[in-house]
Amino acid sequence: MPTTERNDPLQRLLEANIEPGPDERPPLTETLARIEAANRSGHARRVGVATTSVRDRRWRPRRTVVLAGLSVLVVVAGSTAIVSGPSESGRSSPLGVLQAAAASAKADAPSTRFSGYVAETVERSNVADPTATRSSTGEDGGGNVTRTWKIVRRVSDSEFEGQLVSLWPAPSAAAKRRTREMEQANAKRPQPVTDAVTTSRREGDQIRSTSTWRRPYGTLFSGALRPGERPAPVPSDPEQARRAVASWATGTPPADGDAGEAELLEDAYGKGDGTQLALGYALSVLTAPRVAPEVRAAVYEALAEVPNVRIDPHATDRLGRSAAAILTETVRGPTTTRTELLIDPDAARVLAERYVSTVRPGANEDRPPNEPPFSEGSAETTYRYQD
Amino acid sequence: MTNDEQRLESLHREHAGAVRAYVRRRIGREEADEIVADVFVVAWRRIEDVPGEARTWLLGIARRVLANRYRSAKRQRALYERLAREAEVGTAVGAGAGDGRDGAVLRALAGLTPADRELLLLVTWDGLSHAEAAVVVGVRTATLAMRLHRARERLRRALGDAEPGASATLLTRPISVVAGAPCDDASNRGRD
Repeated sequence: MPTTERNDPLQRLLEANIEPGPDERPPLTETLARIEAANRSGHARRVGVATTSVRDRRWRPRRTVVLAGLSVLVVVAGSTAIVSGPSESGRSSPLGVLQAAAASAKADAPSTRFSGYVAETVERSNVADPTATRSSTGEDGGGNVTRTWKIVRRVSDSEFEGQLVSLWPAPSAAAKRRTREMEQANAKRPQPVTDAVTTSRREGDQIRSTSTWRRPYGTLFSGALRPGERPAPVPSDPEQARRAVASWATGTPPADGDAGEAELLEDAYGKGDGTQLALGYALSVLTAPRVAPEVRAAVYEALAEVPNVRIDPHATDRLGRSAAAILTETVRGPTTTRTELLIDPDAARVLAERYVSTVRPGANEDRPPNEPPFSEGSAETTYRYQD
Repeated sequence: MTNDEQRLESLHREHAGAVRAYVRRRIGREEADEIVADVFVVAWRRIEDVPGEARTWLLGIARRVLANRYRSAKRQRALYERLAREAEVGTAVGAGAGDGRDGAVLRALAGLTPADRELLLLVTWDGLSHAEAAVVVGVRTATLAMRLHRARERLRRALGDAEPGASATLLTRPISVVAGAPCDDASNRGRD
């Protein structure tokens, strides 16, 4: 299975630790002194062998202390308007393809149902180094190529198994040594429990990492969950699904939606990028196994109302399958990303999702001297379904 | 000594070293003990809220104490400046010289956003699992893994700049994520 990757950055970072090793704990006296100082000013209860706790005098931290420092990672993206409606070259309107998919879903033919799938993501990138005479080359036609797999497999009438598989370069000796040191230091430390089982095994010069968990049918695909976290349910009501797509299309999480799913989508697409968020939500529902046909139909119908999307009814996925593409474009700085959801209207199935990023000519040559370069590339996930 | 006071002592005995190491890696040794004391004062005030997995909870408090204390742009640059200095040393020594000083990776790390740096350091220098780092940052494990993937790719891209010909990766849309796997998604980010 061809996968190329070199110089894993996390391994290198692990080896470059400028402050390795655990610390000796500082004396408790400074903490006690501060608590006593707060006591004197009436802000905290007393502590110490000779003092008495007064539970009702304990004060709670100011909310600002608790909430401060939450990092903001999501950058709101600007988006380029692509006019909905009939596309160029006389191609059909969005409504036509999406209505056909909705009708297929409603018909609930065996070809539209599935209990699982294997989704393979192939990601290609070309180094954008204006000082290089050409892009780095790798397998599969140039650039660096990575592959990951997302698998949904039926395990019973009520449950499916979710699995994520990745291949990574095996760690260097120095990284292994650091990892071993950390494992020894942390041996007695309780780890947060998740419901995923993760295994790793060596394959030549690579490590295959697999995480597996079980979920009930009727839930969206999600990663590992900690105790108390619940997988997001698939809408059971078509109107709820329709409202959810419409709400995301305005960049707003649906009021009755799942908070965890909203966090994942906004983290993925950026808060406020309505078209991307609506497509992302639709993808989550349409690739969930055993979703009610009327709910799938409602999602397709609701997609027709999402602004800034258009349809290419003559697309082809990486496996050569004919598809209709629901597509949009997003511009962030000099990078334009074209997003495509490739569907089979007859089977009402998502065949693939594809992202292609291009960089405005001259952007790398003009960038400030210490800025990393802008990269071009693509990522495509192809779904192969199991009944 | 009350039960709560015993609990505070126990927390301090078991975790103060880890909290100090976390703080030291970000701001250096000079003020580390002071920050650790601040963290355990908060722990005392909230002793009833301290969960079984106290270490990650305490690191989350440390993270917020640091953010409050070092809110000004100048102080936020403490780690950046330190990394930049270390990068120069690393460049002079050369990567793979055996002392761990990889100037290129430190320089690339210094060039990332503070948020990206924090995620990357949590799972490398601080030795936390994805699930633990998620507790510290205050997000779901799945979200943490997604953010980490993007930060990792930005680091890779920054390394690509430092080393012409090395990989610089397209950032694409996350499909799904999970704890444990080093990277479980593709994420659809142009350059933020």
